[in-house]
Amino acid sequence: MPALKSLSWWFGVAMGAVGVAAVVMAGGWEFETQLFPIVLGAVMATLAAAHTVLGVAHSLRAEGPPGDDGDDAGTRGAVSAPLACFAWIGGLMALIYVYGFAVGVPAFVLLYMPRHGVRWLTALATAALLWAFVELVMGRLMGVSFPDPALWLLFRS
Amino acid sequence: MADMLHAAQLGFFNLLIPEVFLFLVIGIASGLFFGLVPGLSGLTGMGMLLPFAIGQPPEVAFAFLLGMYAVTTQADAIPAILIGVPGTSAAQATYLDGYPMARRGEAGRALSASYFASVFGTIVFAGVILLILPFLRLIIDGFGAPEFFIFGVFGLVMAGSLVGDNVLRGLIVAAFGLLLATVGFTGATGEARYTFGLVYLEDGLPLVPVALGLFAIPEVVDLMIRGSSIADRTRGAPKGGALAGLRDVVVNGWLSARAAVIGGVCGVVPGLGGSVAEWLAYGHAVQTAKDNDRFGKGDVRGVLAAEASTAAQKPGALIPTVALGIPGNASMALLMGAFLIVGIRPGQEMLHERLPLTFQMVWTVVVANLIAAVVCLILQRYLIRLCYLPAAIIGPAILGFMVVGANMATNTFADLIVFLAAGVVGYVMKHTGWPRVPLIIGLVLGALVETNFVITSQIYGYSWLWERPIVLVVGVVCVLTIVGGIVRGYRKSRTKRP
Repeated sequence: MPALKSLSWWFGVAMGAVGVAAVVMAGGWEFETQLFPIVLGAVMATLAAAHTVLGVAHSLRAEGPPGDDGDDAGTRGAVSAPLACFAWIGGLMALIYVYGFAVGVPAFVLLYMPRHGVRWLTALATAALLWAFVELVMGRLMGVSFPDPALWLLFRS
Repeated sequence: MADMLHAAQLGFFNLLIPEVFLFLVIGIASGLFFGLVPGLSGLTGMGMLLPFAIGQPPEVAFAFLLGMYAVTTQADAIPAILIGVPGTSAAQATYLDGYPMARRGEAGRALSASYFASVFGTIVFAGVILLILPFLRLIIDGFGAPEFFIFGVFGLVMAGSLVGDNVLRGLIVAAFGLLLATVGFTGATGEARYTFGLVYLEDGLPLVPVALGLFAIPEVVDLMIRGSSIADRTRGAPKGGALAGLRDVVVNGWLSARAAVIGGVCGVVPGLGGSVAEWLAYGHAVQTAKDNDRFGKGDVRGVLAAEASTAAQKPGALIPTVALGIPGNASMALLMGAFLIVGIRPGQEMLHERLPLTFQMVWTVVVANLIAAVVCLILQRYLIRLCYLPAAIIGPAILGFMVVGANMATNTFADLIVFLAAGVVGYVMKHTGWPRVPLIIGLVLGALVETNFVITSQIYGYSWLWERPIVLVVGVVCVLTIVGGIVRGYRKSRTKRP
């Protein structure tokens, strides 16, 4: 069934599940607290159920889910590229967590750019620009306090 | 009326305060960058720059953010006309006639026509705002909780129904946005909702990392996947034509004015964005022209109509945001975030005590467009080089700026986790045809809608549904919009059948 292979259809199912979970979780709260989330959860679940059923009905006619713009096929066909990008972003987060912003952000640039064909000099200049932005502009000029890096906390303990 | 003129005067002078003007110029420079680089947009810029509003006085924060936001449409006309790369969906119609003009050596004329049309469109609709504001103030002064509630619902319904092709998806996502806004302690009972025991969530889901992740990460990821530079060919630097473009705007002044009104009205109606404004105005230009056979092949009137409408759409979108607290589009939803950050409530306050600030915002859009037009005329051949920066340079650099911006919500690592999670959700939504705009509008409007819903139900019971004419009219419009969206979707699915 085409609907089962469609990421957009499954996203609708997930939305419905979120709506049901929201209603269930709000069940034990005071009336004033639960009223709005329950209404929203119910609306979400109902509309998502309609979306799911319509998707199945359309796919039974071999059309694909309603409003399907055909991107799903492209997404399925090229999952590895976005995954690789998100892995890089995850790596950036890890670098920031361990070394902090002032080191993690320029380090990410220095790791990413040369691997993607950028000259070292350009990578160094971009890293320096980002370091200046994080450390000088944000840190010193604007007085933003960034969270302490995990490495620093480890040494301090 | 005298107090309006006085407030307008004060608003203009506020803009000339050196600190405010400096931030306006920085905002304009940022806006030119976001507009020039295809794939980025005013929305990405708004998301990235929003954290910098923290701790700034309102005059500075809005000059900075609106200065950036106002000029992106001017800048995105440059790659659309010169290299045939419309940076945003709102530049598609500009590309349609601007690029053929560039190909036959009239790039300078097309570009200058687009700049002056933008300035003209903004000025026209700013004038319209000045004229309608006194009446708007009278209407909004009569508003109570039921009206604010129904207008909140109206904004969500419009965003859910008009953004994207599928009304069902739009409404589901809008409800999801509202649900996300319920996370944290509730004001009514002090009870925590959906916090899962996490202290981070007790103050609610922060807007900045969610918005940045939802909109900016998918663009950057797509940019990084493409790998190559954004533009890989050039049609030569534009030469001359500045006066020809200005003359075109003057000669076609009536068309530009009509296009500006179309764009401004599209801005006022929540859910209609720049692309709708541009295509409506472009269609109007084609339909009303006696000799319309040159449209799409390089007719300067196509460029004028498209640019005047998209430029006017921006001050138009300010009206529901400032006067009602209902953002007309995702960028305005983020601007609403700026209101919260600087501690101002949109609505009646902005039309009375804060009226000079309201006018300052309108002036900001006008002055920013004017400055950007001059800058673009002088620097366009140099600015265009940004389009040739490889994605391998621009992608990680933007990412670096974004993580810093995302972190500024609470200055904890949890901001980055929310940012990444929203990015994954945003990427999936972008590539599966689920609209993201209703989600962010729901998140922003959540508090307003819930508060007014609770007040309304406590004070009026159910009688407000039929006793208040504005509620009745807006409610009917909401229902008709949903029904219209369903019918539209049904017709579309029928035409897709073999």
